[in-house]
Amino acid sequence: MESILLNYLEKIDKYLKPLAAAERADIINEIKSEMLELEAKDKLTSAQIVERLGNPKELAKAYLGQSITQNNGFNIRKLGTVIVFYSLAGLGSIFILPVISILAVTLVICGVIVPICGAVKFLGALVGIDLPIIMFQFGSYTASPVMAFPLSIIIGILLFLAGSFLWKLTIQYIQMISSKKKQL
Amino acid sequence: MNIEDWKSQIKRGSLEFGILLMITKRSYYGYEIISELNKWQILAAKESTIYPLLRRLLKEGFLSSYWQETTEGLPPRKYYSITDTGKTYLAAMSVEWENLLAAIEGLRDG
Repeated sequence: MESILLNYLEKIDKYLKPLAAAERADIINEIKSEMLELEAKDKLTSAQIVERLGNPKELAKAYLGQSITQNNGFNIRKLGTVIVFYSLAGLGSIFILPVISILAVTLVICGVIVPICGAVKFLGALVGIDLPIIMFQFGSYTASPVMAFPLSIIIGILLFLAGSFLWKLTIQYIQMISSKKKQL
Repeated sequence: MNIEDWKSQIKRGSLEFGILLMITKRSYYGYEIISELNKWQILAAKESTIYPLLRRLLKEGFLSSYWQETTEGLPPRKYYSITDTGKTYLAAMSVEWENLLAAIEGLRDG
């Protein structure tokens, strides 16, 4: 049997874990039989067969949906999964989400402000005005207005990139939580 | 389109009836059932609908099943037959079906 089909059967087997082993094997055998019939009688390719059968997870869910009222063990396990999900998602939302989202926005804003300040200082120096308010200092090193400008641009870019990265992380975190929720 | 929603509701109610009507005549296996139903567009359904449905009818005792080897080099097949409980259930469905047809006709012509 082609690997794409075997692969599909393996996935279904995985998603059918809540069921008893004998029932799981019976389902897999029936699907395998159907695959071979589609191949022989309808002359479908493996790709067509997999497409017709649909998402293995959805197929498994259709089977499980029939057994949810019959298997108590499955219910308790599902309850456990739901509790764990909401606990983690809740904690994550209290700590992780606010931190990375606020940090992301702050870094991006700083990334924009810093080069602006550098530009202002530089322009000030050109015109002959000294602006002690704006200073580029790193430890004991103080940059001259001329040096400060390119340095501020570099720092600005770094801050901006860091902020963007954290922002992407925020979005990914949110997507991960929503997809986990759908899997419940 | 609303008609598609309605059709799928009709199908959901009728598939069981259609399948039992088939199996009461002789035993069928999954692929055969799907092929037969595909002859009528309103009842055509995919594996992901039919197989879990068959499993449910089995669990509820309306059907019994057995695996049979084939000789044509094809895989063994799981055949479904109707049980006495299934026949009773089918008879009850037939009555309700007639009631439904009478009601619709009554509404249409009355």
